[in-house]
Amino acid sequence: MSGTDGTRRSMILAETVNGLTPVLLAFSIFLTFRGHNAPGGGFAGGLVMAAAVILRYLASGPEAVRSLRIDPIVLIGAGLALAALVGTWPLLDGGEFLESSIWKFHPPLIGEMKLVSSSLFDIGVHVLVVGVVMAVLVAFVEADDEVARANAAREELRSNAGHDDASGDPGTTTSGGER
Amino acid sequence: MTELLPLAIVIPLGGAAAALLAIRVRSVQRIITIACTVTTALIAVAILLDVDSNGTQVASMGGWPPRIAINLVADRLSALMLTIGATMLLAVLLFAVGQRADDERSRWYHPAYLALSAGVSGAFLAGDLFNLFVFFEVLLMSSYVLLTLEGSDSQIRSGTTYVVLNVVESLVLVTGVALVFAATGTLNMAELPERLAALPDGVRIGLNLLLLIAFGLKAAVFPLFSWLPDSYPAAPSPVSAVFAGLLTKIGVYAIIRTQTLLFPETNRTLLLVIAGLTMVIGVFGAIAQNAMKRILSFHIVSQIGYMIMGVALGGTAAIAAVIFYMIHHIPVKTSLFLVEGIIERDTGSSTLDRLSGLARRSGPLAALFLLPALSLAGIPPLSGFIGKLGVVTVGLDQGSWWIVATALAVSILTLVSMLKIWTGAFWGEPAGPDHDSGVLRNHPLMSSVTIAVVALTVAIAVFAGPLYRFAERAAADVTTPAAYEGAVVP
Amino acid sequence: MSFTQAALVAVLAGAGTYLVMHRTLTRIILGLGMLGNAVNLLILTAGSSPGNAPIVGEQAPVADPVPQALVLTSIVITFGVMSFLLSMAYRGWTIDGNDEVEDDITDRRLAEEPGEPVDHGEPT
Repeated sequence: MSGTDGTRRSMILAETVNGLTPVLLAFSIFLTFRGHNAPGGGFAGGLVMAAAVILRYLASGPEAVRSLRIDPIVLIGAGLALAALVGTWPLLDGGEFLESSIWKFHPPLIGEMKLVSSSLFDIGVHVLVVGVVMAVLVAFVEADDEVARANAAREELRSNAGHDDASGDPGTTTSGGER
Repeated sequence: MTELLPLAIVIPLGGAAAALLAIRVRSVQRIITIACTVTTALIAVAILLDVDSNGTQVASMGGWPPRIAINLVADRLSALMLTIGATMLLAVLLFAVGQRADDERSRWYHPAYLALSAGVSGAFLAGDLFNLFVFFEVLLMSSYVLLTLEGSDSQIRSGTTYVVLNVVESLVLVTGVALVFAATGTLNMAELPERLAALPDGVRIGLNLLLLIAFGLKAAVFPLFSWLPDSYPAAPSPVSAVFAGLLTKIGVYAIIRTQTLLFPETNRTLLLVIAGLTMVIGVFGAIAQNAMKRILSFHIVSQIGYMIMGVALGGTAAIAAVIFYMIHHIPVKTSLFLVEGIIERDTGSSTLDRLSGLARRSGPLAALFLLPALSLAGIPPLSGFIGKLGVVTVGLDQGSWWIVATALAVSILTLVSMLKIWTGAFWGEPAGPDHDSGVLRNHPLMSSVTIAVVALTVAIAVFAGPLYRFAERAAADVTTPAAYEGAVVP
Repeated sequence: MSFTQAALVAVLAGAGTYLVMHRTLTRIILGLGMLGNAVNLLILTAGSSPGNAPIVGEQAPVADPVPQALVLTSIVITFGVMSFLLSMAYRGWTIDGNDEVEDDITDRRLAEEPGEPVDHGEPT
């Protein structure tokens, strides 16, 4: 695992990602909020935000994901719960499932503002998608660590016990260092 | 009461979200799952009563007109399947909680289980082909997770076969759906019959075949069954119980739906031959096997043959017989897997070589096995007899002697393979040193759930009259596409 | 419908089927991905004529939105299944150092034991 010490990271990639992250985040939110009546939507927005997370992972290793300090499972649950709630809400006042309602506000200075309940649904989907991609990423990172630990332990055993089973499992031991 | 239809899907789905949020607290997860499953079962019963008295219910999502909206449709068949499905999901969940095994302790078990039950509800209620596919995917995804929950070597091995074959099935299904849309311009099951009837014969047969292959793989009919006996035994017992009872029957349900509603005028000789082969090969497979779960898994294949036989014979009487057969088969199969689960939990194995004398150790356990086993083989007063009688009678009426002969022969072979389990596991001297008869008392929750499911199978035999009349009403709904059309797009 | 699109569907489906026939899970996954793309392209090719984005206010030849919704949904599903299969391949690799899909153990045992009543109707 050469990544953790940071020596073999690409400087160019890291700097580009640093600059790109805010743009991606803003763009993802933009996509999500226009989704109710224009191309875009929660899924596309969520994927763009997830792409930002993945880029950070590529640029600076597993710490980028861990430093977020959010459990992706909670994101999945919260997103799904929000979407389900927004879908069910209209049933309470006699509408149909998933029926969209529009609220209009008149905040000072900006003029009229519309909030559509399907935007909330989109936000739910957005959060859910980010959570899923992060969960996949975290799972692979953790599994990788596990394999690395297992390999280290096996190496130690092997060096202690001599080389009596050196033929065993060449696939696992060699490819551990390739990442 | 149409607002109940989406609730049958959203409650388990919302429950899955809640169970994910409570991922670190297993007791909370357990409460959420049980509460959601109970609610879903109650909703299903309410829908069933409502549909039986007021006719087909339709809920159009988002308040759009039914022709362009996503529709959820509950006719008698959907409502009946929904009810029996939700009941089995609840029973198996309680069994799993009572089993206190590693799989239920995994933090993914409860969310996956709830997502599975959302998928099951959705598949029964979907009013268009595409959402049928989507909900199939929801339940398949959850079943992938449940099947490989432990991530052990054998689970990964058999899970791979299961997942890959089901992904291929999904791709065939989407292809079918895409071509149906290309040919007719709609996917709404109420609008399709008319437009499909207007197509040239060749196109219609091609579309029918694509859908049949996709659903046939799901239902494990003859050439497409090899994944089933390979993968189900690798799953933990409660998981394989719900898979065995429900999942293949959802494939059969989809076959009934598409064959009666979308392609009513088809020559089904090929399907009849496939039904015969499914029965025969399933039961031969069962006789060859040596582990209880595998024998029971091959029985599923064999029993699917009877259902497909009814669908292939066609007509209201045959469909009524198939519906009754499914209603009988789901709890019977589930209870057999639950008994197997108790045995495996108690003795640590369910391979026939390692078991012996269970009848002497625990008479009640033997009875719990024997009742559904004999029912499955079709011994007279039990529910399986009534189901088989219905299918066979239709076969005789239509003069298909050879399929009736096959069905009867397979019935005897089923009995033979059940006797193999009986002599292997229950007869003879107890293997272990302990002679206490407390197998059931040691596992109170598991046993009471199993007793309840077995009681349900007996109740199906006792109330066969009213149930069969209900199945006939459901079949009458299903076999008249005009009625479905009239209810959805008036 | 254009010939190029139809040909692309055929090529993707053919290559995908070829890859799925392999024993290595990694190749199967690649094959399934190709098959998935073939099907998605098929939905678009067969289900809609080209046109402007199907949004209120666009000019007259408007594409049918339904196939696009179908494709989007099926892409999402393929994405989920792919990541699950990848993780299974990874898990298989951590367990025994390869990602070969093996035969069923009991099937192998049945085929090897001449004394057992082997089922002749079942090809394994």
